[in-house]
This record gives sequence, C-alpha cells and structure tokens, in this order.
Amino acid sequence: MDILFPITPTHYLALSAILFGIGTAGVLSRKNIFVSLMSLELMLNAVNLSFITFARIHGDLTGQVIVLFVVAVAAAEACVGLAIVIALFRLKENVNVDLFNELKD
Amino acid sequence: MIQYQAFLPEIWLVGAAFLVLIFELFYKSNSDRGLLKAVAVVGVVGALLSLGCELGCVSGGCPVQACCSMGTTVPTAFGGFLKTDALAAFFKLIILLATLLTLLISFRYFKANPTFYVAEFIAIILFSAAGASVLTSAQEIITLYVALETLTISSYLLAAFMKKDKSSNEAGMKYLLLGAFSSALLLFGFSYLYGFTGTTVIADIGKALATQVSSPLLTLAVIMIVAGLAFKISLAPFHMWTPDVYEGSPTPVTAFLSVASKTAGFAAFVRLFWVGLSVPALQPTWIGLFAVLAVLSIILGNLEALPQRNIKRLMAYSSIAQAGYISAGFLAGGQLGLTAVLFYLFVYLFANMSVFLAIAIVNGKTGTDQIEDYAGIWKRSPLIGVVLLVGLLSLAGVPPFAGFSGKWYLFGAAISKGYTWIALVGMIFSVVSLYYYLQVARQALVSEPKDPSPIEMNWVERAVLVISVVFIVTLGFWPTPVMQMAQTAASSLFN
Repeated sequence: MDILFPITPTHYLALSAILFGIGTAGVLSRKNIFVSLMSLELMLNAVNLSFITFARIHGDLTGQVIVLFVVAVAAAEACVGLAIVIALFRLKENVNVDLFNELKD
Repeated sequence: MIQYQAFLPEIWLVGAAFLVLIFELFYKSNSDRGLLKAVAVVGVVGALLSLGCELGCVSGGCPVQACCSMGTTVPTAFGGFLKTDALAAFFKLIILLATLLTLLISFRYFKANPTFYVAEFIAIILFSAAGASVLTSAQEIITLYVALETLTISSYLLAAFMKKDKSSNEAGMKYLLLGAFSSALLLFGFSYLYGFTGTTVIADIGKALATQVSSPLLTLAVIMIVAGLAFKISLAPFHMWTPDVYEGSPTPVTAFLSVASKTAGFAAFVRLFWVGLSVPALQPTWIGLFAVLAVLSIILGNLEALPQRNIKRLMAYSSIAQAGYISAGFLAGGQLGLTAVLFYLFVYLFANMSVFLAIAIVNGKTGTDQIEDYAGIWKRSPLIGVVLLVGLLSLAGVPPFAGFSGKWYLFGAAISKGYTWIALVGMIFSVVSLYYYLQVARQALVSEPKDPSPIEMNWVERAVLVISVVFIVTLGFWPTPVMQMAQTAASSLFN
C-alpha cells in the first residue's frame, strides 16, 4: 500500500517552480517593502532548491557548492536592502512602496 | 600554480580599496582626505598599467620584457574559471577608464555636496569596479554570478549613498528591488542550464547543448537569462528602473552605472551567449529575443527622451537607446559584430563620461540638473559648451565624430547578417535623437545666460575634458588603432 507515493526529483523541481512563482508574484504585487524583500528571498531559495535537485540528478557536487554562494550573496543583498529601508524610514516614516514617488516623469 | 596575472588589475583595485578604508581611520572627521583620493587614483592607474602590460605580452608587443614572465600564453587562474584573454582585457580597459573618470567626477561632486563618507564611497566604487572586472574574465556561470552581484550590490549602496536625500534613497531602493529581482530570474535560468548540462563552465555548456534538441524548459531558461541580464543593461521593456535610478543617484554613480555597469553586462552577454548558448537549438530563440529588445529600446528610449527636462533623466533614456544600438551589433555577432560592439563601447565611454563630468561641474556651480539652467553655458565656460556639443553629437552619431563611425560599424554588422530592418530603425531613430541632444546643445550655445558668472574647474578636469573631446574627434576620423585592438579582442573569443 503506497500511501506516500515516491517523491522524485521532478516533484522538487515543481515545488521550486511554484515557490519561484509565489516569490515573483510577491515582489511584483506587495506594497510593503519588507514583504517584497521576503519574496525576493523566497525566489532565491526556490533557485537553491532547483540547484540542489539538479546536483542530485547529476550526482555532481557543483550544484550544492553553488547554493552556498547564493546564500552568501542573498545575505549581502538583504543586508544592503534593510540598510536602505532604515535610511528611507528615517526620512519618510513609512515603508509603503507607493509612497516612494519622489522620482517620476 | 595560480597565474596571478589573470587577476592583477583586481588585486590593485581591491588593495587600493582596503588601503583607503584603513587610512580613513587616521583622519579627523572634517579634513579633505587628499591622501585617500590619491590612493584610489593610484590603485586604478596601477590596474590600468598591469592590464596594459598583460595585453602587450599576450600580443607579443610589450616594450618591458621583464613583466612578460609568461611569454604570450593567456593567463588563466582557479582551474580555468578566470581567463584574461584579449576580449576580457578590452572590456577591463573600458571599465577601468570609466572608474578613473568616475573618481574624478566624484571628487567634484563631493566638493559641492560634502559628506563624511568619502572614503566609503571611494572604496565601494573600487569594489564595484573589481566586480565588473572579474566578470569580464569569468569563464564559468557561478564566477560570473558572484562577480555580477559584487558589482550590483555595490551599485545599490552607491545609488542610495546620499542618505539624507530622499531621491537618492528612493533610487537605491528601486534599484535594489528590481536588480535583485532580475538576479533571481538570471539565477533561475542558470539553474536550468546546469540541470540540462551538468556543468557550470560556459564552454562545456556550449559543448553539451550542441547535440540537444530544443525543449520548452530550455527555451524558458534562456528567456529568463536574457531578461535577467537585460535588466542590468537596461534594455526595454526591462528599463523602467533606469530613469529613476539615474536621476536620483549622485552624478558620479549615474556615470558609473551608465558606462561601467553596462559594459560589464555586455561582457557577460558576449561570453554567455556567443560561447555557451551559440547552439543550433537555441540561437534562433535568443537572437529573435534580442532583435525585439534592441528595436524596442531604440524606439522607446529615443521617444521617451524627447520630453525630458532633467539632463540626468535625459541621459538615462539616451543610454537605453544606446544599449539598443549596441545590441544590434551584438546580435549580428561574429567577428564583425563583436568588433563593432567593442569599438562602440569604447567611443560611448568617452562621450558619456565627458558629458557627465560636465554635468557634475555645472551642478557644482548652479546646484541644478534642469536643462533650462544650461542656458548660455558656453559664455560661462567655453570648454563645457564644446564638450556638451561634441559629446552629445557623438552620442547622436553625427559625422565626423566617433559616434558616427561606431554606429556605422554596428549597423553595418547588422545589415551584413540580414538584420536590415533593425539597422533601419536605428538610423531613423538616430535622427529623432538629434532633436533632444540638440535641445541641450541649443540651450548651452545659443540662449543667453541668466547668471553670467564664469564656471571654474581645476586643471585635471580641464585636461580630461580636452582629452575626451580630442579622442571623440580623432576616433571619428581615424578609428584604425582602436578598431585593430577591438578586432584582436573579438577574435580571441573564437579561438
């Protein structure tokens, strides 16, 4: 009796694609800048998942090493992002993307 | 053994950046930090010299034989992940010259907008240049990704650098959100490339894909890579961040983004697509995509530039259009197209940088970037008037300036591969672009100044402006030496 059907790499890839889609939708639609940054992290982690899956399929360690690099880069990105959010919050007292309208045509 | 010649310029840049940060500790908060500026300039000049030496050795024409310990072999490092061939060296030359000019612009900018964080600014510029420089010799997608992120994460910081200024912060935030988003797209594409081929080395990806038939997932990966990188070089329709970021960022940063960042983006494009993805299954897809992006950028960039009143915003739209022209040469590819791309980037460097230096000097005096305040600049400083005229006409591609020969080669390459329609669109919209470029020149040269007080500049700035103008004019009449360099560089990709 196979209640838990075998989970294949394809399932992981599908999960990664779904997560990536959720992240993309989040970045493009949310107004709160923190949620946007979180969605960005979600996108990067979806990419990590697919790298790991491919590393598993190929039996190759490169894919796993890449993930470490991506995590490091994502940390740097989040760090810079939050620093800019703090600077903006000091000036605007708000973190809503729609209020950043200093620059426009 | 690691052949450190492969990344000698980066060692200079990073070394100078760390020295600047260390020396900063010994300064009182309100001194002018002359030593730091000197260290930064020495770092970039050192990088340029080591690059020149390496380039001379590879082509067998180095006058100083002592520096050619390796003869004419192309230096590689880290198991072939970095390879500084003539193509990388040419891109590095453009990036380093742009960095040098950015430093010069930033010294002028900080005289007018004092900040406590000059050392940090200089250091981040140097780190960012080091990232761009590594990117040009990366032979492997993860090296390429990390180098690209070193460049762009530093750029986010630079764009948001004036932290008391709302528009600078907003520019940084917008750049970060869209830049990180595009990096994620790029990386997702990379993960599928890795999945299909099992390798991250660009040349091996090309070999593995050569026998592959086209599949929807592979096409999707390529589309994502094109989209992710098109953000970085601001090709329409991925250009919406460009005007805001260019307007809000400090002027030196705008100059850096418009030249160094774009050049690095094209370096990534050339390696990734003409080495890795130049396979029968994929080539029609991405060439088609690029054709659409190039034409859209040329049309949208030029049309949206027409009503602009702020010169930095105008230059942003102009740079979108320029990216479109360069893409026309890029998609033609081959020896001819890539030579044209390299030559045009070199010309674009001088035209854009001299115009941005002029903008920074004018802004330092008048405190505004509005085009109407450029009225009668010619009477206040004849040199700035000449620079604006020559630089902008060169960007528009008017003979006899270098921009004309550059566009000639780009469109010639496009026509030779059968993309006549792209070349036609490019030519028609070059004429449209004359309108807004001449609008600025007309203000500068014809109108009467509201405030006739002269605009002063120091001898370095004057020398740089004069040299840029001389370069733009000479390259228009006599492009041969730079063309030969570009040809050598382009051919190094194919052997």
